[in-house]
Amino acid sequence: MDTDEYNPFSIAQRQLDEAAERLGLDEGTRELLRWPMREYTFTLPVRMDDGTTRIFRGYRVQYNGSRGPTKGGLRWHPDETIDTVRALAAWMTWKTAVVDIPLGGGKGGVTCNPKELSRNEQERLARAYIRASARMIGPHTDVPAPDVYTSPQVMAWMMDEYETIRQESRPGVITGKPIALGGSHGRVDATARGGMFVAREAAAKLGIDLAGGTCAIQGFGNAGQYAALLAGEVLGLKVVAASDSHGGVYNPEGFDRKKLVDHKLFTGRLDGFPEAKPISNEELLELDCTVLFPSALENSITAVNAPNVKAKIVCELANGPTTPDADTILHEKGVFVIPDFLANAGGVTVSYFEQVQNAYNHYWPVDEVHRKLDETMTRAFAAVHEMIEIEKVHPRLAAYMVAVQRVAEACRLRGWI
Amino acid sequence: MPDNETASRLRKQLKEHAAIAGKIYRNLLVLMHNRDVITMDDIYAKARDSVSEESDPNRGLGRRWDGTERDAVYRLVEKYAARHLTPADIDSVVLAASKMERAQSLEEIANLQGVSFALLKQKVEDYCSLPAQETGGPTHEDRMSVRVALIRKFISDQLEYIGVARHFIRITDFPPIMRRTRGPRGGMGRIGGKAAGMVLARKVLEEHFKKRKTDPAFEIATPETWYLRSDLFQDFVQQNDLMDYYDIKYKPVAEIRKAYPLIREVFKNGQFSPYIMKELRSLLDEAGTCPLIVRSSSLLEDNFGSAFSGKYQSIYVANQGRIEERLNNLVGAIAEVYASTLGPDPILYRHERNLLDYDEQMAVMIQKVVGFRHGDYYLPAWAGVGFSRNEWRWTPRIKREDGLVRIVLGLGTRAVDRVGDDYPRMVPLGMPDLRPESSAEEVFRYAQRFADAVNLKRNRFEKIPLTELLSDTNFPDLYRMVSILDHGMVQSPVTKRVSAPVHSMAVTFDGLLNGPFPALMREILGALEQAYGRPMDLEFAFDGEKLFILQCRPQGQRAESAVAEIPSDIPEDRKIFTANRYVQSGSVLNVEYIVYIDPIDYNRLTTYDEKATVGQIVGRLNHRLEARRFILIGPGRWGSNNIELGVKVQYADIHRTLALLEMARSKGGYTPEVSFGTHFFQDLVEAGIYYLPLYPDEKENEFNEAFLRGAPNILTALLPDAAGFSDTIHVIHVPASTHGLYLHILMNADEERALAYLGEQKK
Repeated sequence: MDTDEYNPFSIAQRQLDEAAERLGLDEGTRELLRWPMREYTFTLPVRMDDGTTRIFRGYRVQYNGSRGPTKGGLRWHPDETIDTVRALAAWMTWKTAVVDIPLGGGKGGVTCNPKELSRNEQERLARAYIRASARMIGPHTDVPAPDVYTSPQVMAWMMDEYETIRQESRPGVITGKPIALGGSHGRVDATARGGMFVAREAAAKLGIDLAGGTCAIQGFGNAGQYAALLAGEVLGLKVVAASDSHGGVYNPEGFDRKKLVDHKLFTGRLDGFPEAKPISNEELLELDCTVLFPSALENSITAVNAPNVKAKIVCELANGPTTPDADTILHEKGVFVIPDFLANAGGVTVSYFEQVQNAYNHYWPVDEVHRKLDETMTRAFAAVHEMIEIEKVHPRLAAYMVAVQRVAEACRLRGWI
Repeated sequence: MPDNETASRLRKQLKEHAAIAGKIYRNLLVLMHNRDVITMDDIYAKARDSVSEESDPNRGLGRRWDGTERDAVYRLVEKYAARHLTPADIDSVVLAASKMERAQSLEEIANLQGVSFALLKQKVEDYCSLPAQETGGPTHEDRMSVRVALIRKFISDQLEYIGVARHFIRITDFPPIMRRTRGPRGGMGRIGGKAAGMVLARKVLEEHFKKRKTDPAFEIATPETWYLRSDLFQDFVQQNDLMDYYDIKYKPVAEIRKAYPLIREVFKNGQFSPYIMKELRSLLDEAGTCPLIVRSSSLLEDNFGSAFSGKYQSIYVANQGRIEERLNNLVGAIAEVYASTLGPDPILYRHERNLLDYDEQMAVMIQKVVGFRHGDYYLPAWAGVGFSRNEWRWTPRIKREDGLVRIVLGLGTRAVDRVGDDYPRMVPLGMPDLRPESSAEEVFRYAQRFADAVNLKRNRFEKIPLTELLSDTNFPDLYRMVSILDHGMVQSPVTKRVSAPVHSMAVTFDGLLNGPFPALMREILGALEQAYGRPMDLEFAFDGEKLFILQCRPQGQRAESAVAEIPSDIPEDRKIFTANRYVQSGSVLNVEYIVYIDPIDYNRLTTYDEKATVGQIVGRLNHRLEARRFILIGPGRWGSNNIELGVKVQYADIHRTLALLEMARSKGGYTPEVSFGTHFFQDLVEAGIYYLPLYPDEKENEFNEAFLRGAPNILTALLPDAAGFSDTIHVIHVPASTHGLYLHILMNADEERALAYLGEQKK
């Protein structure tokens, strides 16, 4: 197996190329979009609890800021490298563009193992990162957010450090903050909720009546759990199957969704849920259902199992669950795939809402967040669907074409290309 | 003698203490010598002068201590004392002489064979009834001899224990314990190993905190305790004619296991004498209706090097209702603890340590359960077990010598025993807020879900979902125990007021660990380790006000294993597996047999019986492969109570393996729990069995499934009737399957890496 074929960034780059080709972008524009605008590396000295000083390596990539301040998470991971950060910053650029929020793409990280750091050490690391990057970030330049192993608490420390340096209130420097410090309502389920809205729009376009339909959820982490709760609430779907790394459960009559989520929270696993048959992850992906929500792993749907997928809509809440070959097979079979960077863009959209609320120093009730998220996702889907209709391409390529076109347009208007 | 007040006091005291008059004169003489009133030599010279006839150089000196000369000395002592000492001096000298006399008498009694507990207790109380005084009396050495004699007679005859205990346990510490000791009239016995550990720990900590300038952050206490002497056990066995069952200890474990349920029932139906019943009734009167725990405290238990942890029973008694019912339940619990002396696990444990021929006797400790009433339940706010050495280190930043605590909300049973379906908080005391889980979801998932408590209404021990227990947020100390999951964050409450819904609470102990508790536990464990001169473990509980010490014993440990260098030149086809988490240092070389339970096939077994049979077959293989070098590899949490979580075995089923390798497979659905700190793990450590979790589905790990599944399976050759399980259980004779190679496992904790590979036999 060619490992590159299954590398999400390689896939994304190939899809960018394909989109650029279809859009007829000139070579200069393509080259600009292939590379980050700015990359920073930081050396972060942190005083450890035992009095010693340890040096950490930090990164921030501002991939493309043509459409607005760059936006993207901060990852704390032992295997973090500038390469992974760079790749993920590119994804953020297309994601913010496809939902048409006025932001660019960025990403950051620190090579560290948070499991080996005490709470105080984590706080000192968070503050060290901001001291090193304070000149490069800000509400109008680059706005970090939580990602792998960084929490709202880390965001709170970072915001505090930034405001201490600036000597003024600047909550919009970072998103994903605790509600008490200017975080937005509606953030925890934003990814899943955004997915619901685009699934609803897709069904409407395809003429599928979702009321009374069924769905299966592969992966039962944060996004999967909220998908289970919201599939009924937003779409009127029955959840007939769900799975996690321990295996899955199936009930053709539909689960009590709240109980299913509580069972997972309580036991850490889905198997053992009463009134359910066991089902493997593989079987779940091939279930006859209205909507399939892959919410767990990359490359779950491959050329091997794609021919057996019976769902009418695949809504990719996870990053990269479908391989390019599988994408083609599904398209040819008439399965409508809502691509990941559109389907799971609800999270970054509510992050943007957080920035807006911070800027206005006025906070919205959760209903308003939901309503605005609905508007944004609906509009985003409409643009992608229009591209599908006009260009007769599969949804993922259409989404890339929408995103790349918007970024390219911004670059041209600025006179960069 | 001049007739003054001192003289009359001396006459009176001599009359009252005629039996120790000689000691009194001697002490007066020493006192006057020390005060320069008159030297001893002068007194003797004067005495000799007063009784000798004319000096004759041709006659030898008379015997110094013949009656005449002694009387002369006494008269001179009286004369000088009357002139130079006060009546208070006389009283003090008489008291010191009395103490010396009683100390000698006590030591003699304590060293006598066949002396009764009642007499010993009387003598101890006699000695302790004399007021304390600063000078004179028994010397330090005298008192030490008495302490040693008493400890040996009443607490423990283990030399290592006595060597430590004699520095801490004073004679005056005995009466309160003896007053709470029960046993047959006229008998004599000890209070057993667990009680011994408890008594000593309390004294060590008392001494430690006395030397400290500030009070500890928590008031430290021990629960009210009563002791049933070991001779009561003998009495019970004889009275109920149970001696016949004693031979069972020499039978094979399988037979013991089969017979044990019957033995337990027979013991539970045994009778105590009317005298003991009366004693137990008075004990219940003293205890009131507080729930009790009946703890085993056998003579072998908790000795250095053989901790017997969890082998014998400890039973909770709710102690509610009418006195007859309470008494009946107490007696039943005691009998059940007695029966556990013949349980398969302790017998096997003794067999391995050549302790089978020792006349094991079971003393019992009855303690008030530490806690408070919360609704219908009785439980402590939190409880757990601490270890002065931490064998659970997932990063080199955690130091072994900083110690470890396993802590739970409610009774500590969930921290001490291996519970398959729940997670106590594991706290490396040097870095207490370090934990292997990072995200809010992980923290929430790996949190305690159930609490153990005594249900006062139903009169029994129960496991309660925390959602039920904490639905009333007035639970004491709750704000230090839980964190709240809110908008993707897990945060401990800012104030004492906890107002979140119970479903959003996770027991993290973040509040407690953020305070002085970790440092205090480290200090306590350090003080115990220093006193004992070896790693220690300690059970504790907090009732909302005081930190109670429940039990203390030497920590099971293996000799420090050398860090193995992991070779980099092993050909791929010779590698069997690699591991990269929770690796301990050491080597397991020349493994001849591998017993491999395939997780996916095990998962396919649908009934409980089938899965239980796998555990039984492992037990038989453990017997069949006796004296062979073999390892066990299989799914999930071995030894868990929940068969769905892994192979159901007891320590006796696996005790001959060199290593136990627990596998997590994403498809099979098994996760090895970090078992460090449980009794099960302690068994492994004490037996020198290595534990290593394998995560074969992780990209960076190698796992040669083809070899483990494909090598010739000799299960049927070893156990013909187990043929039906040959798909699930693979027994590989490594040399026969590899042209003479053996399996070697090298483990390096510093690098957090382990490698198992096939190679030539090593010397």
